Amino acid sequence: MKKILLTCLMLVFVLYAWAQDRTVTGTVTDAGTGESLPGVNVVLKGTGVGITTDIDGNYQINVPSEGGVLQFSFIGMTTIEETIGSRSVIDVQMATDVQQLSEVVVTGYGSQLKREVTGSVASVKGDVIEDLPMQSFDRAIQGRVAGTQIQSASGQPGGAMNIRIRGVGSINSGNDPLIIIDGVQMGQFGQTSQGSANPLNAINPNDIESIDILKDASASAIYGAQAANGVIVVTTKTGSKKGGTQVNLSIQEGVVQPTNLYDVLDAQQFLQVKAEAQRNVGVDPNNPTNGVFTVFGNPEDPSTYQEYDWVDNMFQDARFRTYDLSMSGGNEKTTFYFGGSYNSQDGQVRKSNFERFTGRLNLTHQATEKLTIGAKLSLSHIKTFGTIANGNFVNGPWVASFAAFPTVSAVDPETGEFIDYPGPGLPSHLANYNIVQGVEQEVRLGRTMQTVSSANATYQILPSLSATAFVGIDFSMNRDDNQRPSTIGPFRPAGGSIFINNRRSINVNTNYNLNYNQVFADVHRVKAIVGYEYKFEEREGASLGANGFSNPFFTLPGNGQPTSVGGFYQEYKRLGVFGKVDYDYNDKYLVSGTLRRDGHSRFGSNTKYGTFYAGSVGWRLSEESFMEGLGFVNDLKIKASYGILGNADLRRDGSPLNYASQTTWGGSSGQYLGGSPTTITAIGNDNISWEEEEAINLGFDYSLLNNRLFGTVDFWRTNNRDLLFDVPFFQNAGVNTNSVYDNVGSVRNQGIDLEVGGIIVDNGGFRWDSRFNITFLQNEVTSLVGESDTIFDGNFPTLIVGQPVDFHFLLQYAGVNPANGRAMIIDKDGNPSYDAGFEDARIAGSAIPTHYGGWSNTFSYKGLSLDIFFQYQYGNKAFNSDLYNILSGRGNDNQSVEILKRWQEPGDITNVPQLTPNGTIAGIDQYYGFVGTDRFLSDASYIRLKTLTLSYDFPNKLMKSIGFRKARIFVQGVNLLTWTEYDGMDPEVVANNNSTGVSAYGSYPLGRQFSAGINIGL
Amino acid sequence: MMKKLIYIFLTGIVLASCTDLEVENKAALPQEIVLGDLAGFEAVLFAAYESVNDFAYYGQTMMIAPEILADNMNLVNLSGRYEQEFVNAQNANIGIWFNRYTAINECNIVINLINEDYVEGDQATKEVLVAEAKFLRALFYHDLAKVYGYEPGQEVDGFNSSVILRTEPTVGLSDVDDRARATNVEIYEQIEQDLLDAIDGLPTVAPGSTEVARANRQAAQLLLARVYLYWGRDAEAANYAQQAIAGDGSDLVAAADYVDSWDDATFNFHPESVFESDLRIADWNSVDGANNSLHSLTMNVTDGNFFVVTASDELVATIDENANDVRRNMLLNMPLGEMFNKWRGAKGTLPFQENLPILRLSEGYLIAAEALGPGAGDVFLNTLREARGMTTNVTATVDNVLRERRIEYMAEGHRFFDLKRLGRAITKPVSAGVNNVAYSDFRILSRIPQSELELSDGLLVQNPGYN
Repeated sequence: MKKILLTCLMLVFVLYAWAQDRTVTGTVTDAGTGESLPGVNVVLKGTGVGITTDIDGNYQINVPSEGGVLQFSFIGMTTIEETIGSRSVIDVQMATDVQQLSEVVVTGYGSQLKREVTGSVASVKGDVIEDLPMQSFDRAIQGRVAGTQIQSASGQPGGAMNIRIRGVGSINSGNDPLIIIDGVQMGQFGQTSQGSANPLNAINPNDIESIDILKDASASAIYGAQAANGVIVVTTKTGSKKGGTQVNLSIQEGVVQPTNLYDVLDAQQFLQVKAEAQRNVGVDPNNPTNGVFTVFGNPEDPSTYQEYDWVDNMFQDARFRTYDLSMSGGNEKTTFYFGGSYNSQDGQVRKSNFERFTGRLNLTHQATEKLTIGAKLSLSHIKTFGTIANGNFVNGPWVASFAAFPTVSAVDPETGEFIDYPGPGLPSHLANYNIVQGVEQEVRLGRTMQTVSSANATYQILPSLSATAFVGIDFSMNRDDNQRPSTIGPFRPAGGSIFINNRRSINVNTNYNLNYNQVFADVHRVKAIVGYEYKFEEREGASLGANGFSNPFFTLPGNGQPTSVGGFYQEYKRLGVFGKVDYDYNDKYLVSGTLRRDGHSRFGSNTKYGTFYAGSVGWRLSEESFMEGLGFVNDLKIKASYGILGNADLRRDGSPLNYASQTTWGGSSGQYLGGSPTTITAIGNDNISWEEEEAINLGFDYSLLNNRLFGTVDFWRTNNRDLLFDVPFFQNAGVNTNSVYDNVGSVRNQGIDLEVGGIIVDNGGFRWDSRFNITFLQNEVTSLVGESDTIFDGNFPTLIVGQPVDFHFLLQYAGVNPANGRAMIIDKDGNPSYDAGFEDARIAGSAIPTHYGGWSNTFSYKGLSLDIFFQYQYGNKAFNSDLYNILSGRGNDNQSVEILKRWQEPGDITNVPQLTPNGTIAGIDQYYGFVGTDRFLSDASYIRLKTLTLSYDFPNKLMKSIGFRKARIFVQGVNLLTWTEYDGMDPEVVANNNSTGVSAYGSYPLGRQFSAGINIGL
Repeated sequence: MMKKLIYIFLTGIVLASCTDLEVENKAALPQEIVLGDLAGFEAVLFAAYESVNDFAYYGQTMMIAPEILADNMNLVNLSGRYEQEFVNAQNANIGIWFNRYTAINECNIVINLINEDYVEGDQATKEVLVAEAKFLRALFYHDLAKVYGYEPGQEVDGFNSSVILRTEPTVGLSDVDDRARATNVEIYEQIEQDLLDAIDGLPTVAPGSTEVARANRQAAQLLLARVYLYWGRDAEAANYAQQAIAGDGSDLVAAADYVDSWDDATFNFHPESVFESDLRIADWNSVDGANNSLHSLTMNVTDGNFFVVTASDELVATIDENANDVRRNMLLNMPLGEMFNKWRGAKGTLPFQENLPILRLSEGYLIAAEALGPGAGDVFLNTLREARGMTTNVTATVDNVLRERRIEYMAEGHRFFDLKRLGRAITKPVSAGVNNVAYSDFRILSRIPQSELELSDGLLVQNPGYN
């Protein structure tokens, strides 16, 4: 006590001494852009004295006559200390803190300084994804974060993505991470079913301030339920209390082009190839009834057919544009951020487009000294014209354009009007659907209005204790219109059809927390939170269909005859209590513990609740005195965490399953004599409960060589157990759904997440920043149902203990016998064989990559900056079923030019067997379609030059002189180059890519984009 | 001020802390409500009836696969459909396992639970519902037995395992037990008993009327005749066949009217039908008609038809042996070959739809002819021939009856099973480019789904030759 008193007296004395002071002034600017920096904290070190810079970056501070040290700090910038000496003007340039020790990480229900985090959290700041020509942020952060695999499920504008954090842990249930936008726990399903739709399209990526990815148990356990798949926390922008109102305007315009379309035969090649197939089975192509030359035309006489390039007429270079306007600002009491955007993008294929308006208003207001309220409101309207993809559909452009006869036209050459396909005298093909006409005239429109909004209030009960209430909603209304007009041949007999689908989704979560934050004796810092949360989701819809329209231009079902009605209703509820304590001693020893208990309506009457927990420790070695001699170490922290997380994301065949505990009786499809049939639809299990994930993480964060080299290394392992497993039972028991959910089976994922960043060159204004991340991943099923080591679906094994959750099971292709042109496989005894059965098939690689990651580089000089970003994955195989259509040689489909490598005469060495009209030789399918061979399996590893951006920031002084805050012009390209061995169009959009559900047929590949834009700040 | 705010805050917590986890499942009901009255049982029975329309059953597979696996059809368009069946690839066989057991369970529910104490209702109505369920169960078990096992007395290497026999309902997990396959005789005995019960409990109906959409006495008699014929019990086969038919041809369509009798627009139910499945718009989604209907697969007169099969040259030649056969007009010449003019899809206002005849009275004549043989059987064979415009001087040898059956039921799915039950090789058309399938070949029986064997603790065995 005496000591403290003494100290106080000394302070008084010292303060007294400072009374004779003087003034220092100066301007703080950004070293990178030269822009002035408002809001920088300027503190006289060792005292509490400090102020912030004004809107022009100017400051003025009183200092003692003998000087001292001024400390300049600002979030995202490296803190600078300047000894005052005798100077009265001190101008400072602050550099971006690339290593970001002062970075704030948003975690569960709060935030933390990154250096204090003992879990595994990766962050992407908004500026990294700003102005990228992508509709949803998940697409924009692909490859940026270790341990997080993000893959396109479709190249459609606004198409869905699949995110897998640290592997695939669940077998039947969802593997999607929990995505939280400003506290709102998002629904997982896109609303429209017109082509591929991303549920995150409602959020304009340019409104995003930061994205934090919680990867391990310690970071995500506070979310207990659903945390097993990781958590992505997105925070949108807020205004600043200082510095007036800022306006940002961004305009971008560009083109998207198809890349790497299949190269198919022209008319003459087509006729020659089909004729050869006929000759091989002894049919004369001039045969008057079915000869190719009679039916399709003679390659020697172009007047006998109409050459037409279906691919060229289907795919296109398309335009896209984005306009984005935001304003932000505030004063001591109130801050705001307002953003609006318009985005329009056409697809690489006709009638595949995306149009979106977004609006956002984020407000915070300090109502009283102790009460702060806030709201984040967003609204979006999305209009999608979808494309039929991901399936072997005759009306899908990604299938039919390549298969259509190159000898007939889609349009009347005289009038340019669409004509029926394939026309008189030709065999029925592609269900007689003229694909160009169909894509052009069918309506596949989806419209979705969605809001992701929240309100919150925080009351500061004591300086160290606050209470927060939060309510958030993700609400959407969707209407899909599908029209198949009778102008299209196949739809004519039924008089066309119209199908309307209305859907509504409400997703609400609310929570109430107490936050405690106190420092004891300067070195013991304690942070704690306890809270309660409630969540419900309700999704419903109704649909109706009609046929028999008297005129193809009617667009509402009421004008025709009703043919179908349908609807669905799904709801679930969840509640939980949680608590977390963080403690650190002197910023050196860090400990954290989390406990959460959740109940979920999906589970059995006595098994609804689960308890989840995690603990972690960290040690900042660099703060230890024994490390002082190692000057090159700026920061070094080792950390470890362990926890048990939950997963309640029950699904059956990919669709959410909310009633797995009930044995259900319901309407079965169809009718009989006008009556509605009823049957037992599924058997329930009232003991079904939480799937658990045990997660362990060991790692270290480092920053070396004057913060020029920095990064993170995490070694991790997760064991998912008591899986929500769809356990099959005997089909002969006679229940429609011959499986019942039970908590059995386990899957292990283990890997290493490695992030390394550095400033490679920083010399004379030229700077090269580089960041690289790689994830090593191993996935293995460790147990299944009971003693069984294999799960079969029909005749094929789908899961095997010791194998990844996703594998290819195929015959091994042995090529073509040069003597007779017949395809061969390696049979179960290892011998070449013409014939094959299931027993000859074997595991042929997995769809799950063993490594993935990204590498970004930024070269900057003065205002000029070049960003080059590569994204890659390695070690996965993909099966390309498109080749069954265009490389099997059979049937009437047009073929890939690869078919020209077919076997023709003894001695030919090739992989493509002799052609026959039905694709069989001696009764054996040359493509073994019933089992499949690895002939159409290829390595889908790739490295892709994902984005390249060249930008120029105009000099600060010039901008000021014309009244601008800043201006930036840029050109950028997306998906510019790809290196891969994959034999399809796009190695990223492939079947079973981490169980994405993308079909091996007709996937919609990503396009190549070029754009230019300008970003102006006022 | 501060206190007020705290109160507001606490109230907010209380308001929001609804701790309920109750949810509503609007799409389903529990068993005791669904089966609470006889209408509920009828709805379950309707599910079994409706299953006859499944594309994996008579809606497509059972009509086309037995034809193209044998020698009646030629594959003319490659759309991924029946390409393997055409060349009898080793696993390209008929798979009706899953589909039929679901329907059998529906029958079992009706048969076993309708007399539970909690179901009130008229006893006579209950008995008819049970009789209908027994008829359907017999039909389904017979189809399973002919796909997955040999007929009694026709075993190869003594292999007499048929399918799994379940006569009790599955309504919970405890009912799902591991079972071995019953013998073919056990299955046939169960079918026989079900049909005898059905004959007792069902009313007679007018052939070709709307009533044939539900089980009836003649249908049960005709099916029992068919079962006895497959079983080799010819005397009983002849007996029940004759009970089902008039015998004098008066219940057959006259030759002059035969081709038109397949016009669904006029005859929703074929005039000779005693059991025919009712099919309407609601049974299909919007693309099912074009993608999967018999009309789409066999004909090429409606836009959107796939038209994958035609009559084989061998079938056409067989018909052409007799210049007066009116069934020659059931084939239409198209650029790709002779098109079946049977599945016209003309019921109702939208294309592709039609009812599916499962048992026609002509079969009674042919069963009687075959079962009675040359001499006593001749009259039945010749009566049918007369109704098809042909001469009436033929002896009822097995070959003659078989020839007649081949033509009469073209595109109706009898051919493969007729050859099989007689222990004959499955003949193939030249256009398939493959050899005939010997009766001793393992492909005569279908593969049991591997997933079933994996679930079994060794009780369930696969058919020979599949591994």
